[in-house]
Amino acid sequence: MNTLDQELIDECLAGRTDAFGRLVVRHQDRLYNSLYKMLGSAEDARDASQNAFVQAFQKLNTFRGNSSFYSWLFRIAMNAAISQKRKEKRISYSIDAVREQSGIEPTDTHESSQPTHSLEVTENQHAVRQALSELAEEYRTVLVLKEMEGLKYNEIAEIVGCPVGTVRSRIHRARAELKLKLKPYFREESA
Amino acid sequence: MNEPFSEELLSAYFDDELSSEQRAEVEKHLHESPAAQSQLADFGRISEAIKSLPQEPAPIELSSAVLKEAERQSLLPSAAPIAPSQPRLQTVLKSTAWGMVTLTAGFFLIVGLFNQFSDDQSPLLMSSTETENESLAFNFEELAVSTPAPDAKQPFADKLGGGLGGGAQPFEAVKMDAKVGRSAAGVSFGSITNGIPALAAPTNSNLSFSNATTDLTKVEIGDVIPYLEMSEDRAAFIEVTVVDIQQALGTMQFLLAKNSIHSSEELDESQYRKNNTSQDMFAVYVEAEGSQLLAAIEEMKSQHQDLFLGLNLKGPVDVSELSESIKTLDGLSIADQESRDFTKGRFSRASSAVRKALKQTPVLTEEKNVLADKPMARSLNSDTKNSDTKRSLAKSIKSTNKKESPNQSRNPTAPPPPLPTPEFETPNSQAFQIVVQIPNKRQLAHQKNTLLREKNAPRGKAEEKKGGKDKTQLAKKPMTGFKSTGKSVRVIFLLQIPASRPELPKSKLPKP
Repeated sequence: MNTLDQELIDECLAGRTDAFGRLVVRHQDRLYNSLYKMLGSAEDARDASQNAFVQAFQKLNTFRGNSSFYSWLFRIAMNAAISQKRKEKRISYSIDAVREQSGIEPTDTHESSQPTHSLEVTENQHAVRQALSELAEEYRTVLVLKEMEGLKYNEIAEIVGCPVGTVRSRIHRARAELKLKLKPYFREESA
Repeated sequence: MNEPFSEELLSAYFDDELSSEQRAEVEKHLHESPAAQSQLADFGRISEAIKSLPQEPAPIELSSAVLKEAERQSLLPSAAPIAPSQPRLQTVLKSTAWGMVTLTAGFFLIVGLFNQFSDDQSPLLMSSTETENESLAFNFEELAVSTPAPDAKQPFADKLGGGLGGGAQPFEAVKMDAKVGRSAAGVSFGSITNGIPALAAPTNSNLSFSNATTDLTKVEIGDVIPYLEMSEDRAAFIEVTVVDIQQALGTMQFLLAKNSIHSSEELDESQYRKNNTSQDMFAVYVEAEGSQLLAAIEEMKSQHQDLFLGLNLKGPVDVSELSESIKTLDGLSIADQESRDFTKGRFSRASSAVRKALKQTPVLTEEKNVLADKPMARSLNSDTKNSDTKRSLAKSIKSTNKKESPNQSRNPTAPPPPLPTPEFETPNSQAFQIVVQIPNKRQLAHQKNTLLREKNAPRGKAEEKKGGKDKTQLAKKPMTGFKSTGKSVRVIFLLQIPASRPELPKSKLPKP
């Protein structure tokens, strides 16, 4: 348990709401980034982040400090994201679907998509992002938590709410699928 | 190792999630299998590819949006309480005409317990003097110290009606029909009936606010919301003065939220900055029933004595006890802490001064009338809204600190003396201020005489028409059940914020 986190939590529980603001600032980038990777949408990531923080604020008195605040927060975020997905019944991002429906190529406003960015890097990143987005949600989630968050299996299991063995299995499956999807790019790199 | 080698094991090896035995087995396999080595390399590429994705910084507005939403969510009636252990208090937001207590844009609490005669402009006071000398009269002018009174003859109307947005409520109705109500609950409640609609059944809480004429959705900074609580022998006034905004994030607000008391949905940082040049006010925007507010205050007091030393609103004050012993007051508990170490010595002086003031009847020495106006007036003046109101409050507060002349104190017809005020020094910490006034019988007699003179004074036609009717009805409906003891206690809580406050979320000032 991070000392600063604990101090901020204590302050917040003592009534200093601003302390929670500092907690948000401390973790928002990390949380948002991971949620963005998992959810594939800036809007979804923002909503999920906000929901997670709000719920964390409301449940802060239940936080026992057995795990890191971030793990606890992320678990809330996961649940919030899942609830959000269920509620809104959003369809997974699909370039083909957008193209088919509107006839318009979806606009990628990401920095890496700008002309100044290396075309090759952009292409590879786009491919990786696309491959990630096409993974089943349970696979994508654990893989992002592993690769982006650097969490241990047991931490991931705690967040996702499944056994460690399941986490290990899902991560492997996620890698296996990504390997297939990204095989052409890896071959180019090897060549 | 009984587990057969698998890519999953290799994946776990890549993640360093294997036992030493498993690790040795995998490494042995890797040494013998180029395919496994290739697979491991692929895992590395995948990991690198994912990590190389550009970082997505959170939106700039996320933190402020979170705080805003967290506050809003926590204050929703349907929201789960932050502290499940705390009793959940039902919020009756806008459910009844009078059940809601406050809807203010950040307020500065002024809690008053009154049972005094004083101002000749008080119609209720007039009624009591006409009917029964010992009837209790409530000096609304005194209550609403911060409310502007453009028309001196309608001070209370301004407060209850126009001043608080309920302009349709005629002052005369209040004036003529005010009477003491009774509570069915164990703890007494009060209501002003007839003239004020929907002032009726009290709740089971210890404290009930029954001011139906205040349109709480239109409260503005500087407005005063007087609340009356009465029974046969008990009376209490709670007066909430809206004086500031943007100072609501902190312990008080948090605890209010825990008690399901609505707080300001939006906070405006610019207003906050502007209004806090003196950094001496702690404001919380609340929206709650009296019971909720009471519960929150009790919780604050129990858990944060540093913030609420001396505050105890368990019930109304027994008027008769005021003249006997201030220590018997149920509704006013003055903490005994004398130590200057308590909360860094910020509160003890106020507490001490209060006790000192309570022991004197009245306490009107010059040195006691010096300090109270400073933080209040400064803070009020820092607010650009309702400048008239603030000036009025500042003026009123300052007026309480005027030095009383020797002749004045000897003259039975002299105007009421200024309020004694305790020392107050907490520019950098949270604190509160308590002001106590205990006028003596001589002062009360003067007030009665003044009122009688005004009653007999000639009036304009229109005014006489209304006033005459009022007086007749008042005479028929004397205020009963309260005995004037020549005592009054006014408690002013002035919560202060620390000098080093963190950033507050940007938002907008709630509009009335």
